[in-house]
Amino acid sequence: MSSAFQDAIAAGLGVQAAAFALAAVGLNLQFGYTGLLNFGLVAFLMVGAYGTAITVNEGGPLWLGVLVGIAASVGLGLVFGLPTLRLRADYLAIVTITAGETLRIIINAGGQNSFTQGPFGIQQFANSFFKINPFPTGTYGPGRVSFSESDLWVMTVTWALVALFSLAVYRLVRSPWGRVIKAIREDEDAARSLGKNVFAYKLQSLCLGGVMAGCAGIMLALSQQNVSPTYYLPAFTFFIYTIVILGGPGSVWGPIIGAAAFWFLIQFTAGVLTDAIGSGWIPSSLLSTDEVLTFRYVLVGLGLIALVVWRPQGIAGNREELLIDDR
Amino acid sequence: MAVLEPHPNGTDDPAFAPDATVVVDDVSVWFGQKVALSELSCSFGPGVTGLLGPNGAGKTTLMRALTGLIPVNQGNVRIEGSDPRRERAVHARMALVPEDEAVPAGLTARQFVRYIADLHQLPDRAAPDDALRTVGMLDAADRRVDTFSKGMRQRTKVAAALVKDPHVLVLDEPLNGADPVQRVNLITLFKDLGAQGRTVIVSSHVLSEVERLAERLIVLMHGRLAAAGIAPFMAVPPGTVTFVIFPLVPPSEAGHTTPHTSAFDQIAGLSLDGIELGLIIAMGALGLSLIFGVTGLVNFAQGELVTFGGLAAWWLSTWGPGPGLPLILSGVLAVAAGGLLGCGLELGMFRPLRRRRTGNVALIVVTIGLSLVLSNLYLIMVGGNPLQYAEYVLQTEVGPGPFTLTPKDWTVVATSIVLILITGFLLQRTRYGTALRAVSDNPDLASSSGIAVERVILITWIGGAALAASGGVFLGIATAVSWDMGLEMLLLLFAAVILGGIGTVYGAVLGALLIGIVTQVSTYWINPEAKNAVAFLVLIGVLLVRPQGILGRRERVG
Repeated sequence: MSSAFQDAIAAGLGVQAAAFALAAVGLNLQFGYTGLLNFGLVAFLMVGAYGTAITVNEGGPLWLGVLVGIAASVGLGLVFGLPTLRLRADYLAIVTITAGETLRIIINAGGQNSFTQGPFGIQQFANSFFKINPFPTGTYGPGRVSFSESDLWVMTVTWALVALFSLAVYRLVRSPWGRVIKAIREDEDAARSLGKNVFAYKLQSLCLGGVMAGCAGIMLALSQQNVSPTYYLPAFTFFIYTIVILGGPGSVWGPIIGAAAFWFLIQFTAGVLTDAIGSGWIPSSLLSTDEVLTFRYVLVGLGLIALVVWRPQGIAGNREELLIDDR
Repeated sequence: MAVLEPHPNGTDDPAFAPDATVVVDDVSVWFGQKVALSELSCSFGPGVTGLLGPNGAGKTTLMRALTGLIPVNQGNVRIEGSDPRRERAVHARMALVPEDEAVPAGLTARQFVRYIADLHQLPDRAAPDDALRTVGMLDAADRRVDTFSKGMRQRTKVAAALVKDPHVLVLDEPLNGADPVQRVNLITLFKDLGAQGRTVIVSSHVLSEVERLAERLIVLMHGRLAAAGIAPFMAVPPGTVTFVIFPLVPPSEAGHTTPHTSAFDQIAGLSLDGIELGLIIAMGALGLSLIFGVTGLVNFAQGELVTFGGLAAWWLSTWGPGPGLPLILSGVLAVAAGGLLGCGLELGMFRPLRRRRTGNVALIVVTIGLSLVLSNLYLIMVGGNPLQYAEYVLQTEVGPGPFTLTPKDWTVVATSIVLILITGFLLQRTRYGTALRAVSDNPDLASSSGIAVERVILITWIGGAALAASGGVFLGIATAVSWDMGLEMLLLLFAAVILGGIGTVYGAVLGALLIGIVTQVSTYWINPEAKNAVAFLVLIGVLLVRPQGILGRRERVG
């Protein structure tokens, strides 16, 4: 197997893919099943991560930090949802992206000595998480598809959470509650005319999906031992959207397949492009190796457009069950 | 942060710091026939001093002379009273962060900083980690330096300089090559270092950067002192202004200006800056609102259309290998290119998608993809630095009373007002305008009454994208443009359009002006880094209280 392919496999299984899958499970509940165009998803990851980091930094234990992070995601769901869920889809998109960015700007504007340590962020708060790592020191896996013991530990926990939340979503969407949120996605007025409290259902979906995204933020922050506001740019949200649409919105397997495929493709393209530049297939005046990382995002954008236009049901989705194909 | 008081012995010339730690006295340096510094006298004290000047002005020569790396041909340099060429002891108290990439590849950040500490035979074993922590690099300390981004390398270099805990820190173009986010982090870092009482000297050729970090500014031109100034907005800490070009004072007259402006004057000045910003926003907001009006599409790539104009004008006028056209001609061409881009997007993308009857949500996601594509292409093409046009850089502000702007800013204000009036006239008085308003009201009815809806939409895309591009050019003239400003701009456009009422032309202009004024005036009280948050909070507030905006109609909100 070529090294680019092996690296891509590693990326598709790794910490990033797992955490993005977790966030995508949450977004899939909000967007794929309920039809909420939440463009501020990254803010849920941010408050989850910051809730944890600040609690530990102020002297609390890590388990309390995780609880604070989860509570912060629920709180953010309420703050986002209560005022905005009565608005039309495009307005909801505008408000959520703006609110998320506002929160990030406010955190970033704090000084080094503030609660959040401003642009410096908070580091080294996850030591107790790595202390309970059951894997002995070493590298695991064949060839280049190998992970350090701490990566493997984060991956195990995160993929386990993905499995747990996916199962929860699987049960939820087949329950009466799930049928109502799908009805809201299809026709809000019809659901309302059946006497359902559409607003409450939307709010529940937003908060529940937000908790999953918050957990994704916590896991990412733990794995990097770092939170800083520059990490939570709106483009992050758009990547999660790409994952959900790639996997298939409104399908249980979609976020998992989407995240693995997304990171596989991103890493594989970068590897192939770098090789092509190295061996002179692509002249470095056209694209240098430094620019490959940026060029991947151009491809993500093109891929997102192509998916929405030609295959809105993604890999695993069902075309019958699609908000994005709404005509 | 220490505010510099007028000089105690009566001369309050801003070229001289009152409690100077670094003194440059009548210094000249020449290399063969070329004079690099000519009879330069100035001094530096605790806090951050910016050293500004175009490339080749003598900034690097001055910094190398300060740190004793090169001899001066005439005059004296003193660091805390010592001559850096003669007394080695002073080198323990000062450090230079050079512009070039002087970090050996293959070492990790920690190894590199330890190596520097060992060179200076520092007894404190914790010093390398302390320095890395100060610059926020402790987490990446065990990564190899050659895997770092520009900004991270820059921080590593700063850490290597900080490891000996210098009183005087000289940084040559430290913000070059760092991406905008890291730029903010570095600026905060330098300010903190200055606030700790260190003498921090930072050189740059970008005025807007130095403005954000320095309390005092020294401008070099052709090896001479061109101007110097104490930041008056820093003297009143709450009201930092990023849109005002630093009021430069020639050194001879510097003693006569006192930076004591009343609160009223400051707020009046900020309001005028806000109007200028508002007019720039209005250019993009008009396009956003018109396109929404005729197609119902919220274009999340509108910010990238604004960026396009700014970058295209930079490419035509300032880029080294580019055609090097005059700025005004470049601006006109950039706006025309923006119109062409709008035409291409409509014909190549949005019209076929409408034919396929693609849903509204899908179209929004398509514009998101478009924004990712465009912004990252910009990054590949022009790089991560904010770009300024080469012409009309340093100007003195003119205007009645507190309402002063530089001539180029007045030009921006006047031109954008003219463009808005022309747009209004076209919409109200021409057949196309009537057709556009008809399509905006009810596309089906318009179509059945014989209006060529597709053509109206095409013209709207061309006009909307051209207006957005002109906003980018104006922004480039007023401050700077960068590859990633599209999203920030987009959110300001949203704020403006929703405040005014989406789909209404006058609403977009009114909303943009209000947003511009609110953001700028808010910097009188709050940290300018957070000024956009104020605009966004206004947007969220409006959606809660009156979602249709000031001039909008209720039924659009849904």
